[in-house]
Formats: sequence, C-alpha cells, structure tokens
Amino acid sequence: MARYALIDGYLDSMRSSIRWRRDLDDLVAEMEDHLYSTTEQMLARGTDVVDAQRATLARFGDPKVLAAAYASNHRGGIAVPTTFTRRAGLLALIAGGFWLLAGVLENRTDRADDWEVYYLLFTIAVVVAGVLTVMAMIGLGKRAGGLGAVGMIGAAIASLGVLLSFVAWAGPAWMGLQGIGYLLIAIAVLRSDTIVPRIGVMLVASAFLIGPILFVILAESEVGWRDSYGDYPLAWIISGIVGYVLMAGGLFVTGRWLRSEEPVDLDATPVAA
Amino acid sequence: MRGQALKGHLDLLLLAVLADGAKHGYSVIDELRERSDDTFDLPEGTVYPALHRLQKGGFLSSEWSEVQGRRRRTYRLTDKGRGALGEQRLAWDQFADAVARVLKGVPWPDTP
Repeated sequence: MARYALIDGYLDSMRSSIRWRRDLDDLVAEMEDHLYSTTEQMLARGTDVVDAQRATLARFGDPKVLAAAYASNHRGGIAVPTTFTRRAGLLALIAGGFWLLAGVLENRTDRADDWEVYYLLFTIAVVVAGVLTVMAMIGLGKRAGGLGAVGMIGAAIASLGVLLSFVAWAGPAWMGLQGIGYLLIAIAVLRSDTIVPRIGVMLVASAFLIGPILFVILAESEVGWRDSYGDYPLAWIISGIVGYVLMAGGLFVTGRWLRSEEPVDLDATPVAA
Repeated sequence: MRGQALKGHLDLLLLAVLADGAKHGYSVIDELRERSDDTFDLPEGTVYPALHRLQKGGFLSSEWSEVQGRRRRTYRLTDKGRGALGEQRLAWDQFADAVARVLKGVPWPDTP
C-alpha cells in the first residue's frame, strides 16, 4: 500500500492530539481509511499527489477543531488535561500523604498518654485529607469531561462525609459516606470515553468502603482485646490502616497520572458534530 | 451550508443516509454531500464524532473489516436508530410545514 507523507504527518499529529482517548487506535484507523480513500480518489481523477493530499486534509478539517470534537464527551464536556487537572493531581498526592499521616495519628490516640493532642491532630489530618481528596476527585472528573449527575451527587455525598469527619471518632460513618461519594465519582469517570488511571480510581473508590466493612466484620468477630468502652481497638486499627493505605495508594497513582500529562490548549469550538 | 446551521439536524441527516443500508464514514459523507447537491459540505472529520455519538446512544452499530490493507469501520442503523429516524422525520415535517405556512403569501423582499 502506497504511503502519503502529508496524510501520515496529519495522522501522527491527530494521534498526539487525541492520545487520551481510550479508542485511539480505532479512531486513527478510521481517519486513515477516510484520508487515504479521498486521496486515492483524487489521484484516480489525475490530481497531483501533493495537491490531492492537501485538498484531502483541507476537506477533513482543522486538526484543533477535530481534536476538540473528539475530546467532547456525551455530556458535552471537554476531556483534556489542563492546568486545573494538573493541580488536582498535586492535591491528590498531598491528600494521599495526609491519609497516611491520619493512619499514624489515629494509632497514637489509643496508646499515648497525651491522646487528646493526637486526637486533635488526627481530626485535622482527616478533615484536610478529605477536603483535598474531594477537590482532587472533582479535578479528575473535569479531566474526564465532567462529573455528570451521578458524579455530582457523589461529590456532594463525599463532601458531607468530610463535614462529618470533624467528629473524627465516628470513623465508619464519615468513611462510609466518603466511600459512597468516591464510588459514584469513580463510576462517572470510568464511564467516560477518555483514558483514566483505572487502578488508582478503583482504589480510591473502594478504600473507604472496604475499611468500614472490614471494621464491622472484625468487631462482630470480636477480634483482639475488648476495651473499657466495650469496643475492639484491633478491629478499629486494622480496618483504619487498610482504608488509609488503599486510599493513599489510589491517590498517589491518580495524582501521578494527572501530573504526568502536559496541559492541552484546545480553544477551538467543535462544530456540527 | 455552515456547520452551525447544521447543528441539531446532523443526527437526522446521518440516520437518513444510513437508512438505505450499512456504509462506512467516507460514503456517508459522500452521500450527504451528493444528496444535498453540495449544500451540506461540512468539514468531513467532524462527522465521525457524530457517528460515534450515535453509536454510543445505540442508534447505530458498527463492524470492522479490512479493505486494501486498511481497517474500515462500517455503520448500520439499529432498530432504535430506525425508530428515532421515524420520530425525527415526523418532527421535521411538522416543523417545515409550519414554517412554510407562516412564509406563504409573504412577498419576497426586494434585493438591493
């Protein structure tokens, strides 16, 4: 099969412009078939090979407009990396650190003599981590072209969970609420056409659901010792560590991915399509 | 015809072109231009996102084949797409008829 340099250059450029699409290879293959078919038809009519390629590309459209059209999702949002989404990546990384810190501090509240200080620090850590996580997940939603109704409900529920985390000892409650919220955001993000860090998103979505469920199972199984309040601290500690570590891992993966993408300038407005 | 003027009608036009049978993107665009006597001459690349959107909505299905060493995607109207075409065609007929009735009897303005 003959190759046409101008067409191939255009395809390379488009491949780079829409590299975030999950179906990238199919899209480029379809464009290649169209552009080559048009060029070959013009050649058959006696058009010069360079002129045929130029005319074909002119008919196909401005690459920036096309990239914007391909970046539009079914909700009308534009799914591209931007400065905003890169910042969301940074927030995700910081949030991950705060969740790990929260895990360490929570462990100290049960053992240290000055537990009140650690409880206060733990409360601050979970509130800050929660705020940053919600912001990071909204940024991830923006990267996927918008959260949509499901994702927005998720963000609202997760925010409620963050508010509730001011009562830090009510871990299963605020964790559960945030877990449901992050799960809904993850569903919205994973349903989009764009490539997303699936493992990171799924870890964030599952961390605070697995944590509380594990707590209930361990507490019901009466694992470890029983304290003066009638609780099982080991159940609390294990479920907390699992939840925080999974959450931090998911946020690190998601944050690194968001940070790794160069912002794209797509000022063109999609037409017709 | 400018792309903006086509907005909102493109889905109906694409469904209509595919009503005759399965076609790949290139021939969909070609037929759109041919049937409209070059009136609908929009940037060809912008038709593909519309086809993909229709497919995602369940109005079209597609399959891949290999032609002259290249991968080619062919689109086909689904039952849902056929139903939507009927509804949109009816809505368009009613709209066009209403506009025609309003304009009927109105003299053409003098061209400067």
